[in-house]
Amino acid sequence: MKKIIVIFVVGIVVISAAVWFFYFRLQTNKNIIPTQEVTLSLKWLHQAQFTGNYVAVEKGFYKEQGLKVNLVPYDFKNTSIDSVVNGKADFGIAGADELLLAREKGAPIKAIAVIYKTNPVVAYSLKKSGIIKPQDFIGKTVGIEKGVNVEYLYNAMMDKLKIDRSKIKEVAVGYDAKELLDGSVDVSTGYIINEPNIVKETGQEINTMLVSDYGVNMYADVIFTTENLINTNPDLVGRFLAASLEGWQYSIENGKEAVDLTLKYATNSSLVHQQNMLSESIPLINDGSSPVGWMELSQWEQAYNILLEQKILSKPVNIKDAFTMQFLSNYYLNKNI
Amino acid sequence: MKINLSKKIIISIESVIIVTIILISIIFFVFQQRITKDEVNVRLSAISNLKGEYINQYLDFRVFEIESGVKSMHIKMGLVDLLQGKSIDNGEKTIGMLTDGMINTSSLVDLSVINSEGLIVGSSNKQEEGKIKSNEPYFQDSKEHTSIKNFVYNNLTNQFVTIISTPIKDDNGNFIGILAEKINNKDIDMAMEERSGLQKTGETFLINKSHIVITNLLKEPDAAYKKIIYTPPLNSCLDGNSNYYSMSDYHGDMVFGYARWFPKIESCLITKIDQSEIFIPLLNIIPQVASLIIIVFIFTLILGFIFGSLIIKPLGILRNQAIKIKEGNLDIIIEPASNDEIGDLAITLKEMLIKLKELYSNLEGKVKERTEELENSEKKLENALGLSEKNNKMMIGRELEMIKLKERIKELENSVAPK
Repeated sequence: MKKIIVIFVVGIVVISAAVWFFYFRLQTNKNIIPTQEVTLSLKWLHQAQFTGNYVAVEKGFYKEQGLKVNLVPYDFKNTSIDSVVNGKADFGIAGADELLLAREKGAPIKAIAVIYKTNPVVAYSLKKSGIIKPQDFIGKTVGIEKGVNVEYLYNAMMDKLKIDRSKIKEVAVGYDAKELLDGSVDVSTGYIINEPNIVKETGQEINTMLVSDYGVNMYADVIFTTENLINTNPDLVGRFLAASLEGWQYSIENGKEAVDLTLKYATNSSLVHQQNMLSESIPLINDGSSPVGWMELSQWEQAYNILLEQKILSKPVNIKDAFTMQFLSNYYLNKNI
Repeated sequence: MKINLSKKIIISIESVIIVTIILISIIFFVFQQRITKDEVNVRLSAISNLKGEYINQYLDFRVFEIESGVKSMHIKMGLVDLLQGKSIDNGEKTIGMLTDGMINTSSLVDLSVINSEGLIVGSSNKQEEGKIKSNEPYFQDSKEHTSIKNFVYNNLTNQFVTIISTPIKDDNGNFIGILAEKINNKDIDMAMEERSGLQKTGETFLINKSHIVITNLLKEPDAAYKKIIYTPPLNSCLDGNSNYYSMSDYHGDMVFGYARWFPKIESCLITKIDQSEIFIPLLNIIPQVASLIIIVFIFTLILGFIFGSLIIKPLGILRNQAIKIKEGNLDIIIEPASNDEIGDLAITLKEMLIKLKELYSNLEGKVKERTEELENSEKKLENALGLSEKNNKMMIGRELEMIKLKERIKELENSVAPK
């Protein structure tokens, strides 16, 4: 009898040890996924526009996917598209217009997700001016940020509204709302996540007119990579995108913490400015119409048509080759939270 | 280890009763759990139906209002004038007539008239005028019939709104524009927050097709329009299949839930309640069962002692009588004290004692007889042994004389022999 008891106890101990050993190994294996280093080239300087990526780094979402991600801001020499095409970066963030223009020139890059679904380009005026819609620009001085997409999106909007621009005085302005604040223009243009906030931070109330509300929308920030990476290492692309989207979702749900993490990167900016930028950004990213990052063919077609109408594009581009839903579909299909 | 009979009896009774109580409790708990779950599902379904019905009626009423507005003679004339560019006040009077009586303004964000090209030509909010909505799904959908688009983000007011839009047609029935009202979700939020039948942890909320939570959550009050949920029951619901489920909620608590597909607003209505709260009455039974076990334990302990002593006492008497018999006292009197197995045992012992007595007395006579026989035999043997001894002594004497004689002869021979 004693012998049976001893065998039973030893058996239990051996089985428990084996279970513990395999469980421990499994847990250990989870933690020792080899870390792969990749570079994300940002569209602009460090600011809340890229909060989702900062959060993905700081909260360890990239690490969980086995990635070490270097976030490289714009250096005023190479655009994010240049960096990715030249192999200096694996992923980039750029506007849908920039991506289509690059594809027109033969750059083998594809968008894998959109961050800003609603374009942040905006015309803004002081509330006291009473200018609340583009039709009110007649007889006024309008400042335009020249040489960037603000200019042609503004042009597209005015064309769409068939407003007689000969009755409007249009002048070039900088990126800091100075001209509106000093009264040299009645209306200024820029990005709703940035310049209007500068005015608000001075305590003045403003009216904003998003170009997207006037039939001119274009995906602003899209995440892209090379066709080669998509074809040769789709697993890496999928993991990078999953962690990036997780970073954005976390930022949407935890705005305050996300801003704190952003300030680790945007060291020269103020808390208030970054807070305003993120709170203005979130409705443009999470508009309720589709999951974060989700792209629609109709929106790419709209961007393409605007570029053609504004003669920014000179030859046709196959829209369907400019983006892929492969990674977004896979990510949301397997999501379970 | 020796355990006496009374303890064995008590332990047996205790074990049987306590094991029975525990088994009955477990069976009761499992069945009650199933019954409770079924009851909860019925309740969740009823709450979901009630709230769903409320939202349906609310939206139907809003649709009725806007459709009635477009059909009203004076208003229709004003709308046609506005859409054909004949209005002298940008439709202010017409829109005013709508908002002053025909349309409930309690949750109205704005009311806009959109021409066939998607341009807002008149609005209760002047800032909306001039905007182009040709790419909006509600504009496309409401060219033929009234459309409801829920939970669309409105940049101007920084809130998610529901857009109800209906086509405006000229006298010939041609589509010339759209009347669209944006309403905030205050009424729907209030319906979701109504807590009748939901106890402490129950709640109802809506999730749209993008998996975004669009009304407030009980455990995360600030999650509306931020949080996303992807779970198998929800995924199935958003595919158009209402279903009951039992799993962890967004907060990690185990819940019973009912996910109801709501085609009118293309959303899923979740009605759920924490399992911990549902099972509180059942869990309350555990201390009651424990108390019952303790009471039964004490009660059976007392009963065990009483019944044990009733059984053990006559057995003890019999045991003492058996000890006396063992010690040779066959004169004791054994009388059965009860008419049961112990009584039978006493009778048997009594019979055994009688038999033993008989055997004992027979044995004494036989021993006496045998002893006499042995004594006689002994005497005979002694006589026989006496004669034999005399003969032996004579034989030994003769032998000794012979030896002496031989030794003398030898001496004589040695003395006469030549030297």
